Order: sequence, then structure tokens, then C-alpha cells
Amino acid sequence: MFDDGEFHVVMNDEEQYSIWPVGRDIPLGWRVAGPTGPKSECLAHIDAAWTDMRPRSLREEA
Amino acid sequence: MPRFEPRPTNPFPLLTDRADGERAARDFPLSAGQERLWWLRQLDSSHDQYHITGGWRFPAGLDPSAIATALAGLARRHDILRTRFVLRPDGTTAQEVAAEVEIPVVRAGREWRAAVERAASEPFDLSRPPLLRVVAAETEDGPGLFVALHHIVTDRWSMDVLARDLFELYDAATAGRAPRLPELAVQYGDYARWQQRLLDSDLLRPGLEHWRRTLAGCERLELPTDRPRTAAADGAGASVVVELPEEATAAMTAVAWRARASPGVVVTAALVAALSAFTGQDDVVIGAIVSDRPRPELQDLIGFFVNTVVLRVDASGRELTFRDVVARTRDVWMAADAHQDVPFERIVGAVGAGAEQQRNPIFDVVVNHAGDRTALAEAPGAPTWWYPELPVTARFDLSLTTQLVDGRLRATFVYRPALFDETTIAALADRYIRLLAHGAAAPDRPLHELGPAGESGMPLGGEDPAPRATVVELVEARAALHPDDVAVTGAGGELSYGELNRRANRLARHLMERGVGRGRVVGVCLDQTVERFVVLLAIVKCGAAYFPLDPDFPPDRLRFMLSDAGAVLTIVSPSLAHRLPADATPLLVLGEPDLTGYDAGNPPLAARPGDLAYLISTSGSTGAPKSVAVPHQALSRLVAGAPRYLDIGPGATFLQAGPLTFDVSVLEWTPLAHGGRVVVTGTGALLEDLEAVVRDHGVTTLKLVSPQLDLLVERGLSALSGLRQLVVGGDVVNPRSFRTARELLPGCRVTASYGPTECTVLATVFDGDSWSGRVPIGHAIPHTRAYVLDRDLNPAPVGMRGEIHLAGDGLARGYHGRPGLTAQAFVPDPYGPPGSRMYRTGDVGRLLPGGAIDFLGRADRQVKVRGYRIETSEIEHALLRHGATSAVVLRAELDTGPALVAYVVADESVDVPALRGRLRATLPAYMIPDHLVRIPRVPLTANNKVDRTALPPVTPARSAAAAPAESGLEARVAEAWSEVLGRVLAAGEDFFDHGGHSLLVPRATAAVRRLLGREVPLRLMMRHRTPAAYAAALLAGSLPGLGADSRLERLTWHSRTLGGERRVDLFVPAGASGGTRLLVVLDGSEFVDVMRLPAIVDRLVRDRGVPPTAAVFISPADWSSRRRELLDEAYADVLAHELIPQARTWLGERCRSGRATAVGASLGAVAALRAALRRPDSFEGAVALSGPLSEHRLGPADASPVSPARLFLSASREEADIVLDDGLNLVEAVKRTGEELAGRGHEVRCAYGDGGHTYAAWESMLPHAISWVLREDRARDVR
Repeated sequence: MFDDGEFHVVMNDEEQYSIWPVGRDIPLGWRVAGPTGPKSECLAHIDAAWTDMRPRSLREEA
Repeated sequence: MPRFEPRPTNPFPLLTDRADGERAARDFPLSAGQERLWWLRQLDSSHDQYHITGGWRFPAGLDPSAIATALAGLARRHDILRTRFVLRPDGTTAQEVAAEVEIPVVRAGREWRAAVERAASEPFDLSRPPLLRVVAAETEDGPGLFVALHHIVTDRWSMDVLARDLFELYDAATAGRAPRLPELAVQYGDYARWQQRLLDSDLLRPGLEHWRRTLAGCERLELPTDRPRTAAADGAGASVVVELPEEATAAMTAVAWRARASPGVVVTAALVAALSAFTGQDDVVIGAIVSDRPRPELQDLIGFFVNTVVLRVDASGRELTFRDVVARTRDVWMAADAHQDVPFERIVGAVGAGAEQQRNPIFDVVVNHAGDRTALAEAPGAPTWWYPELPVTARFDLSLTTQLVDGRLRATFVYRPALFDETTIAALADRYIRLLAHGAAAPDRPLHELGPAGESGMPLGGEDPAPRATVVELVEARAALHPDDVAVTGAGGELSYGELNRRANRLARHLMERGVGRGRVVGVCLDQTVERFVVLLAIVKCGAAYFPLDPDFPPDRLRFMLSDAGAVLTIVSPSLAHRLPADATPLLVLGEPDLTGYDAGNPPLAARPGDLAYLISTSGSTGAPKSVAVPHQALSRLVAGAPRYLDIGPGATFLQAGPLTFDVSVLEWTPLAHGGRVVVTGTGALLEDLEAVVRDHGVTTLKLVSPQLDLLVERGLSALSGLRQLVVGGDVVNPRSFRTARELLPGCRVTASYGPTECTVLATVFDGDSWSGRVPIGHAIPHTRAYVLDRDLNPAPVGMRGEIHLAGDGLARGYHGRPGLTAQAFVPDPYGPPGSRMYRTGDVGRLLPGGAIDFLGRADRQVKVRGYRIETSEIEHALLRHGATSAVVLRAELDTGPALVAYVVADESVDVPALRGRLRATLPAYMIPDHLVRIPRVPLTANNKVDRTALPPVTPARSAAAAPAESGLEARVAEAWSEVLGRVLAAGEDFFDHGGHSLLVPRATAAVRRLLGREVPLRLMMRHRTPAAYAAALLAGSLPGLGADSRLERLTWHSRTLGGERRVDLFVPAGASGGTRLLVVLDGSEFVDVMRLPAIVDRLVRDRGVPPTAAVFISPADWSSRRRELLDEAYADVLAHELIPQARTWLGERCRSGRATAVGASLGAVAALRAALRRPDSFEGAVALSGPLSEHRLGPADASPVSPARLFLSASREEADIVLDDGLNLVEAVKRTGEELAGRGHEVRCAYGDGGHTYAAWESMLPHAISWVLREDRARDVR
């Protein structure tokens, strides 16, 4: 499932990034937050965009 | 729909003219299927799964004399019941029909059960007809008749024929009339010969091509077994029966007809889908049993008319529907049907699938749709079927037989209990029946939607969130309540909770001054002393994360790790300070700053649940290490739930025997949070100090990783008897070690645990209940969810293979500074609370019926070599069982292609090359490593994972397989096998990997038997599959039996002239003294190992008055140089100048100074005669067996010898077939040479024996030859 095919870049409320295969319902609490395409493209986007890996709640506490 | 080639028709006449005499017609070849059964019978004589049984009740009574008449009539009617199966001397098989065979009836009366069981299970001697046993029984429900036949003479259909014929014959006998039965135009033998003619023709070539194409690159279906496969599987079976309701059966039949397929295809399609889920493979290869009576004349015969075909169905595709699988199965089935005439064994040979002992080639699962159950005549009083209960036999690992019974489909799964638990097969059967029911009801829905999620039995979500108190708060609370309790003990003394907390507080305040605070990372490189926890606690009190460093790492790697993690400081023990790069971060050497001035009270709480508590470095797949970042909430989750499965509370003393860099060390927080104590001290690289540590510190709870347990079990566990709990981590816990620990440590809880660093060390535990011979990883620990998901991320049904996913509060934040890597490993959890993540472990597992998870392997440790999917961990464990201390198995790409390489750590007493042979006892052949490399220790990465890059490369040098034969026996075995194979096989090459299959074994063995003149069991070839191994095995069984005081020594000799090291054997007879004579034997290894000449000489000297004689046996350096060496004109001089003096040196005073006698066979005979003729100064005579003498110039040209030699020449009468280059045959050559030599004045004796150009012939000639040449009285004796 996570080996090949097309993926969405997704994000949860804690602003943690992940990927999700196109064609399956995106699980609750996640939303599309970037390009859709091959895995390498999605991961490259995430590498660039997810600069602070702390969950949002922790960032806001700080 | 693809087009199919039609099945070729057999163009030969079914019934050949019997005019050439009744006698010829009594003798037939075996049919292809019979041949296979015959072979299986030879392999194992102790039991036989190939019995077919049946029985009937006779409500109207059973007349003994009528049944005897009927059975006699049956035997007269069907040749096959009078047939014996024999092996001819040339290795071919035949069936011979006897004129008359009596079928005895065992009259068992009321005590019939034992008789029936014996009749059903006792092996048949296939050479003694009838292969039919009959038991007459008095059952509770009246008289019954039970029959048991060997499958080689019958099949299921035949059992109906047999019943029909028998009842008619019986009725006729009781009524005193002639039986009314259809006439039999042909008999089974006719069919077998008819089939053989087709097989011998070229007509099946396209069929073989079809199979080769169809099976190219196919993957063996690897069923997840509950127990490892062993070489010693027996036929014991068990069964699970499930039924499809009537309505669903009707729907299933409708789906079949709409797809233009038979119900047999649909039941097979459902099996394919179920197996795909069971194994996680989508290339599904199974066997199918098809009944085949291609001509109407065969309908009324009893006999074996069954073909086995291979079905390879592609079950891939995300949206695959049941109808798709049915259509694919149908197409595959039709193609297989058209090519079913190609015997299974030929397919095996063509695709090089080998023949593993005790494992069916190509497939392990078989389907057999038996259609409707045949109804017997329904007249009142007519016999009815009777199936007495018998032990189930399993011919395959798993087979499915389906049958329509009263409108319902009945599916019987027969399996080997040696491999599977009943629950496993029940889960598969359940999955199967659901697939069939849902598939029949909704054939166009994708398969992955079939079956409710609840079926998985997976607990979905709903666990309570973990308490959020951090370890800092928990330890501070302990310190406040019980300040004097011991918290840490070990190297460096003891620390109470109070003292630990106070010292940590002081250090924390110092660290804060140096900028350590929330969100910071501090490297730690510490001795194994109690100081450890002062440092770790201080760091987390600051709100920072600690990052363990291994002082053994190269400075560059440490520098990279520290900068990658953004560490602000590194704390180091004084003894390790010099090992760290000074330029990476500021260093704080413990003990250097004076902390006495700092406040010892708790600093304000800094760490929040989301803050990182620690980083653990692991090796990355790209080579650069990556660090798993674990927040406090994950550590809190571990600590909070721990008392429910770990004995770590007050009064408990915990030890884990690993370094801080190993994430198991994180478990040390659990006793500290709950009032137990932690032992921190070194236990030695091989745990050599462990027992002392356990004793001295009163350890109650010990955590080991699985290889450590193996090590301890080997050493004995007695020193651990005081333990209250032993926790063994690691994915594959050796079941033997686990069981040993349970048995030897009564009162100690033995727990298995599993968990990756990414899920904070622990995810599941197994407490050893419901022990079944396997160690599952168990259930998820509190605040944790563990899923087994299939390829579509759906929960895998119970028993089905899937990837283990972990979720809950234990998840790490991710890989420090690696967003992309984190995003693909930690993915949205569709089964957890909204927005939650799950970690994809890459581990493969399955859910057991009780809800525990069974670990099946590491996805990335599953390698594929030569088409086989291999779990390397299984091989590693086998190596450990056979004496290795540690082992790593991996797949390597060598010049010769992909290969399995085993790196083995073992002490000197272990013979590493010999491990291969021992592995064969427990592992299938394809799992035997191609290379075994001994290494001093397994190189590990920082994280205790195998550092593959540091393993030495395999030197492929010259392929061992292609090396020339080392001995004559090897070469001759290779020659004999090559002839059977029709291609050249090298001494090191596996017969079964080069087109050999089991049916060729009798012929190949027969060739060797002839060569040796000895009985050789057929089985030997299954275990010793290369000529080299086979030759070695033959020799292992033929050590010469010498008298008590005689000796045979193996020496290594270096000849100046010949060069190279060669083997020399020295035979010294009992009581050797100055008068002892000397034989020089060429091709010595054959004379010693195969023909046992030392024993012959020994016996002659003891019993027959032959004078005391020593012998020196010289062997060529290798078989390939033999010819050149023996025929070299100067060879006689080498013997005279070098070997004889050397032999005299070895023998010393025990040998007289007189001349020697040369002995040789074949080319060695030429060399022996030359020695005697050319060097009369050194040789007084020769024995020349079967030499091609006339081809070579033997002696010097001059006619009259200086001194007459005593020469024994022999040949075997069969060697008249061997024509030499000069046109003479070998017998003539010996005769003529003998006459010539006698004419020149030599003493010559020529003898002619039997047995051909074989060791056996020479061995039988040797006593005569040796006693003649050595006899003292020199009567002239020329023929």
C-alpha cells in the first residue's frame, strides 16, 4: 500500500505530516496539505515544509 | 478469453497385438503416476500415506463363501489386482501380472477395529500381490466388509468400480448365476504401455514447454507454519471440516456456470484467494488432483488414473473481485488440463524444482474436488457405504477435498499436525468458507471488502490514554516518600532515591547554567556505573533529551551524530573522555565540576509531556545513522503500564544486560518510577559475569535479548534460579530456549516481549500461557494498539499474514530532523482516534485465535534466492541450534548469481563447513547457505543491529561446485549420474538442481550399485545430492575392517618429480618384521576406500598363509591429473626412485629390503605392469586388473628380461564390450599381452571374472590376485 502508486501529502491537527494513498478515504482528523503524486515527490515536499517537527500543541506551549 | 491448445490425443493403439505371445503381454511398464507412487514407497519403508480404503455394510448378511468366490472373480477380472511391481537390475521398474493371486479375507468378527486399523496402515510390499487387503467384520450394525488397497492399483473412481463389480459377483455367487458385468477390452497394463508410448514420443514436447513457461520464476507458497519444518515428517494428518449452507452452495454453483467454469474451479478459486491472504503472496501455486480416463475402454477398470497438475494463479490487483479470481482460475485450469499428460516428475525436472526430502516439489497445497458422492444401488438390503474411523493421513502439508453432500459443499482440510495447529487451519478454513459464501453472494465486489472487520478479532481503538506524569515527577515523588530506599545499585555502590534525586538536582542546576533546557539535546557517554542515573535524571529534569553515545564508534561517526542531533553538550565519564571528539560539543567530564555548592532541592518542573526525553541512534537504510526521538508522553506510557506485565515494584531488582545505547536500557526507568531498584553494572561481552551480578545484587527481574538467552541456555540456567521474572526480547525468540527457561526456572515468570525503538522499546508481551511450541509476541501492552494489516491496510483475518502496525501513546515523535522519513514510517491510523498516527514496523505477523500476535519475519529479512522466499532468521536459528554462537544470514549478489551467505561465529570445536550437513537435517535444501563464512564476531551498529558493511566479502574464487572430482569414486559417480541426466554433472553439483528428479534416482543408484557391487539404499541420494557428497557417504560406510594389531595410516607425501601434495595410505600388518614384503598400489584411494584392499591383505596374511605384507597406496593429486600421471613414461622411475625409498623410511625395520609388487586397475594396471617390466631392480611383479594393455607400450623393447617378473593379469568377461583403440577388446588385450609376456619368460597368470569394469569386479578378484603374486612357491602357471 505504501510501496508504490500515488499519494496525498496529509497533515493532522498537531500539524504532523504524513502521506496517504490516493483512492482510499483519508482517515478522520487528517487533511490534504500539499501535492498529490508519487511518493518521492510527496516526501520531498514534506522534507522542505516540515521544518519544526514538534507537535503544534507543544510549539504553542513553548 | 485466451485460446487454448487442445490436449494432444494419444495416437497409438490402446490395445496392442498380443500375438507375440502371452508371456510378453504379462510384463508392462509403470504408468507415470504409478512410477511416482512406487518411488515414494521406496523412500520410506516405515510408513505409507498412499493407502485407499473403503467399506460397506451388508444389511442382508454376508455369506463367507460367496464373498470368497466374488473376490476370486474380482482378481480374475482385474489384472491390476494380480500385479507385482519390481525394480529391474538396470534401475527401471516394471509391473508383472501373475496368472493367479488369492485374496485372503481376515475374519475379524467383533474385534474388527484392530484388524481394520492394521489393514489400513500396515505398509504393503509392492512386489507381493494382491495389494488389496480385506477384513470381514461383525459391526454393531451388522456385517461389514473393509478393504484397503495401495494407491498404485486404485483411485477414488476405481473404488466405485470395485464396489459395483464386487456386489455383482457376490450376487451372482449367492444366486448361483453367471455375473453380468461389462466386458473389459483392455487392462491397466495396456493403458500403462499406451501412455508410455506417448511419453516416449515427441508429442509432449510442447506440453513440457508450456509448463516451463508457465512456472518460470514462480514463487513457492510459504504457509506460515506453527512449527518449523523438519526433515522427519511422517504421514500423520488431521482434518478440519467446514460446510457451505445449501443456499450458498446453490449460489456458488450458479457463479460457476455463469463464468463457464465447473464448481471445481470455483472451490479452487476460493482456495487461491484464501491462501493469498494466509501467506500474503499473490503468486499462488498449488497442485490439483484430476481424474483422467481419456478413453471409454478405461471407464470400467480398477487402477490408478490420476494426474497431478500445477495451478499457478495470479491473485494480484487491489480491486480484484471473486469473479476475477474465478475467471483466472478457470483459464489456468483449462491450460493445465490440456497439458496434464506431461508427468509431474518431468515438470519438476524441467523447472529444476529439485526434490526435497519430505517436501513435495513445487507446491505444498493440493485441491481435489470430488464432485458428488456416488450413491450405491438403493435396493432394500443392498450394501451401503461404511467408513470406519481411521487415523487421518496427510500426503501434503495441506490439502482441500471438496464434495457435494446433500446439496451442501463439504470442505475437508487435511493438514500435518507436525506443522500446523488446529486453530491455524480452522482459521484458514473459516476464511475459506466466508470467501466462498461472500464471493458467491457478491461476486463483483472487490475481495478486500469481503468479510466484516470484526472478523479480525482485532481490538480497534478504545484504550485509555496514558497518564501524563513524566518520569521526573514520578522519581521525585518516590524520593519524597521513600528517600532511603535503594534506587540504583551496582558498579560504584548504591544510591538511595533521596540521594539520587539530590545529586541529580545539583547536576541539573549546573547543566541549566550551561544552557541545557527544554528542547535541547545532551550527548551522554557513560561507564556502566550507578552514576548513569544521576546524569540521565539531571538531563530530563532540565527538560532536555539525553542522547547515548557509544565510545567505540569512530570519531567521525560520533561527530556526525552529535551535530545531526544538535547536541549542546556531552557528558562523559572520566575514563571515556579521551574517546570523544573534543570539537563536536562542549564536554562535561563527570566529577570535574564541583557541584557541592548547588541546591539539592527539586528545580521547577521543566519537561512537558510533548518534550523529548531521549534520542536513540539507529542505523539508517541509507547508511547514515538516524535518531529516533522519543517524547516524555511515550516514556510515561511505558512506565505507567509496566507494573501490569513487569515485576519492577518495591522489592524488585531489575537488570538488563545491554549498554545505554541499546534502547532496552529505557526499561530501567520503570523500576525507578515504581519503587524498585535498578542494577547498573557491566556483565561482560558474553554475559560471563551475569551469574555473579544476579547473585550479588539479588536481581529478581532480568531482561535479555533472545540471543543472550540462547547463550545462557547453552551454559545452563542454574545460576538464575532466584529470578522472579525473565523477560526475553527480540522478535524471534528461540522456542527451545524459551521452553528450557520455563522448565528450568520454576517459580520464574518467563515473558517474551517485542517492540521497536519507534514504539518506545515495548509494544507487546507474551506471558507463556497457552504454550504451543511457538513463542508469539503476544498482546499489546497498555496504552498501545497493535494491528496486523493486509496489503490494503485492512485488518488481516485471524491467521492471515499481514504487516504489524503499532499505535497509541508509545509512538516516537519521529526521526530527529528527518521529516520525509518520519512521514512515510508514521502514517495516519484509520483505526485510532481522529488525527492519530500508526507506525509501520516492516515486521510480518499474524493474529492468533486468542488475539495474540505471532511474529513471522522481518519484511526486509525475507530474501528471495532462486525463486524461494526465505526467512533468514530461520536459518540463523538453525545455525544456533547446531552449535554456532551467533549467526547472520543474508542474500549476496555474487558473480555466480544471488546466493545465501551465512556468517557464523563459533568456538574452535565447531566444524563450520560441517554445519551445512547438519542444517540439512532440519532445513529444506533451498535454505542451506551457499557459503559459510567464519567470523570472529558479528559486527554491530550502534543500535545492536548487524552492520552488513563490516562483514567480510565472500570470495567466490572458483565455484566449489564446478571443481574437478577429487577421487575416482566421485568421478565415477558423477559419470554414472551424468549418463542418467543426459548432461555432464560436476562432482560438486546437485543432481536435483540440474534436471534430476526422484524417478531418476533408481537408475542413478543402480549404476552406482553396479560399480560397487554393493547394495546402496535409494534414500542415500536424497540426502547426498552431489557426487562428491554421495561418494563421501558411500565411503563413510565402508571403513576397512582390520585385525586388532594391523594399522592403516593416512599420510601426505610430496614428490619432487610429481609436485603437489598427495594422499598416501600406509598399511602395516600385525607383527610386521624384517621379512615383511611390500605392495605399491596405484590409484590408492580407490583400493583403500572402495575396494578395501588393506582388509583383504590383512585377512590373507592371517588366514591364508600369505607372507606378511605391507602396502603403500599412492593416490593421484586429483582425478583430472590421473590419466596424465599414470601414463607418463617416467612414472615407473618415480615409484622406484622416490616412493619405494620413502615407504621404506616410513616402515623402517619392519620391511625387508627386497623388491616390491605393483598393483593397479584400469590405467593403473598399465602403470603397474610398466613398473614391473621397466624397473625389475625395484619390482618383482605386478597385479594388473582390467588394463587396456594393448593400447600402450609396456616394457623395454628387448625380448629377454633381466629377471622374470611375476605378473597377474585379469579382465572381466563383460569387458569384451570395451573396444580399445587398436581394435582389440579388453579381454583379448589381456589375453594377448599375457601370452606375449609369458613368451618372454615372465611368470604370468591370466584370470577372467565377472562384473564388468567396476570396483565390484576388482574387489572380488583381488584376494586371488594378491595371494598368487605373493605366494612363495613359484610354480609356473601360465594360461
